Amino acid sequence: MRLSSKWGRWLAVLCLLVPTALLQGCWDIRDIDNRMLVGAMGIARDDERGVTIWVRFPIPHAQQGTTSNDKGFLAASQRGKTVVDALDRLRARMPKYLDLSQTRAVFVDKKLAEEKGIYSFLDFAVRDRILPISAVFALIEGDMDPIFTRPNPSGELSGVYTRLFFEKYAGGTPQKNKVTLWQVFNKHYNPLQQNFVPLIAADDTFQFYLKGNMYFSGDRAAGTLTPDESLIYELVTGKLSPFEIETAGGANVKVETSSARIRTAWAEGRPDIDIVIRVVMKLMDASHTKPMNKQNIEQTIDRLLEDRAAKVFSVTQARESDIFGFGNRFRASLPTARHKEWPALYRQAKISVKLESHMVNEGLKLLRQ
Amino acid sequence: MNDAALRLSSTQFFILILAVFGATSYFLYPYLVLHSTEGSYWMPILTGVLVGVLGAKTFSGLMALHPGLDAFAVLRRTLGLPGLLLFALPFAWHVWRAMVMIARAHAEIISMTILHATPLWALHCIVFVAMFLAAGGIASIVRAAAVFIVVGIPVTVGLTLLGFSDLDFTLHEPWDPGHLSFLDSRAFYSSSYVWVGFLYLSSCGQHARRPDRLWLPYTAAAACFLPVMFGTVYLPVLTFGPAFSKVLAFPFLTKMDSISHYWLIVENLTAVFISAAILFVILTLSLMMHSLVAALRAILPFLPARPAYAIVGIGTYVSALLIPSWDWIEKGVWLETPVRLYLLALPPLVLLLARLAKGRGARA
Repeated sequence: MRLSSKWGRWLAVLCLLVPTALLQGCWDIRDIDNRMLVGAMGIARDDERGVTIWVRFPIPHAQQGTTSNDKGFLAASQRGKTVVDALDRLRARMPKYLDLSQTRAVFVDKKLAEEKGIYSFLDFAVRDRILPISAVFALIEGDMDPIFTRPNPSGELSGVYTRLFFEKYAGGTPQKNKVTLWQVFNKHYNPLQQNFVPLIAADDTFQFYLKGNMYFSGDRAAGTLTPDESLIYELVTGKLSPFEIETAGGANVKVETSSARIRTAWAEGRPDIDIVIRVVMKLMDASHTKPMNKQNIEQTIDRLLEDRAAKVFSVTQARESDIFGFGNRFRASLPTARHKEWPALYRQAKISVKLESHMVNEGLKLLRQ
Repeated sequence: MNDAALRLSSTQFFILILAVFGATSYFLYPYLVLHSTEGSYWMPILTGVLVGVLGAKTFSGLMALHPGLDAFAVLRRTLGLPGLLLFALPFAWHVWRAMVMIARAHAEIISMTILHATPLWALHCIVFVAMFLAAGGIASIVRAAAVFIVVGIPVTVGLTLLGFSDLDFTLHEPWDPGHLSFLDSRAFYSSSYVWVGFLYLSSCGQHARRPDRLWLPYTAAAACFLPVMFGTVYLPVLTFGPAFSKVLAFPFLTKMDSISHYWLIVENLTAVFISAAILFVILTLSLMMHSLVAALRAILPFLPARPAYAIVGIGTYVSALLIPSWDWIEKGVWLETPVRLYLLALPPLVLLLARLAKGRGARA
């Protein structure tokens, strides 16, 4: 049969179509109703050797039927030698496919992070791509049980709501300091900057509340900064979005924008870091007990934040935890081979902070009487 | 249209080269560049592109020795049968190995990232798509290229632009121009597979109006693709830091994974990206197959065209399936390097010999 004949042409078309049909990957077909999508995942310490993982699956209303589960979700926990092992054991119990590809948040037990470090429990996410590396990451203080098993008082869609807690377009604030998995990995491999991740605990009214942010020293959590102290991190890294601060005198200002100018140099073998932070703010509420003018308020804010910053720097320096990434600015003068020395160098660093706050307006009611 | 009489414009050559760059510079390339030097990643990239442009210039000089002929016929006319064999044999070997590795690497990437359960024998079927395209002649390849580029380039450019999210410029390493350590790194020479795209135009010599200007579309394509090449290396570095980027097998794919925006409808950017890259891979494979068949038929003139394509297609498919592991691909790219560099060095040598011969002829 010649290819130019009518049948020959049809045969050629068929030969072209068959391989394209094979390219669609039908081997992977798993319909959405045959999957259980993980919304949030938790990793807790089990005993000396193993871990317990927690997962929370949203259950669509259509599938709830007449069962006793009308909470809109299902929480499950599983022990295992490693996270991957625990997931395997969980699969042995599940009626449907365990799908981690939509996981919105990954939590790790605070104690586990302090005693064993976190990276070895998360490494599988980079290698296998079963878990999105853009999932948010946080540490949990206390028992993981209530966070996973209690219905979310503000509504279900468990995983999504967990993420919304941190997202700026929803419940996120600068203090909540949204951190994603890939950011955790980035800092794990970078001795010039340490991890700084949110610490949350179960809340009475809502699902959980922000306890603070934990700074890391190497792979392990080394200490906690309060939400107020965490603001310094946001100020220095330039991530502070509209946020309210109350002064000692009782006035409230709203920080509109902030920018930090950081100059780095070496002075007598020690890093010399000079930070000037410019804060643009507006007045929300004046003090009702002690009338203050614009200059007073600006000076008070400067002093408040400078004192707070000095404390944050001394605490993190004592634990050799450069969460601000100052070390990255020394890449040009510190050869790669010496990067490992940075935590010790950060401890000796001379850091000076100067705040320049500027009140752009006083709201709709003027300050002067 | 009669294939032999077909004249391709510079734009069409430009599109073909663009497809070759698109197929080769995303996957293994960032890994190789990151491992070739400590911090000045721009140097191996620029050096590579410069070597590529010089290679293309001498190659088009070679083609211009006898306008209207393909590279194999030119060599045969200039240096006789030994000259043809000195070029066509290593060329055929190189193209065959390159096709096998590109097909297998892409199948592995699809298997690692989006289709975990699909068997490799099914994923390798793109070889046959490329085979049919190549068998249609250079006209079909060029027409398909125009359509694929219209789809593929906006997607890849868009994704590269999206890659600008979450950059931290304090993570960059010094742009030290004195950092020449890449010159004695294996990874740098392995990455040379990206520069030699012009070689796959060997079978297109007779389609060029001005073969001596063939290097211009190559240079234009390289210049257009240069920002993307920088992006594939620097976007992961400025997001993940150099240390984390270096431990990743495909830094650019992981970078795609890390992008998450409230306003972005597509969640799995990696899948979009790989799907767009498949188009480039199919085009490149077909162009390579076309030149391989031309090389085989130059050595064995009695070989009929259609069976030659079938043999090459099936041969590539089977050899790609026989590769045992990813490590082998990395090793293969390195082991292939001497042949590649030889092919890069051959055109200037031939030009020199031709000039000497001409000079001697003139004296005589």
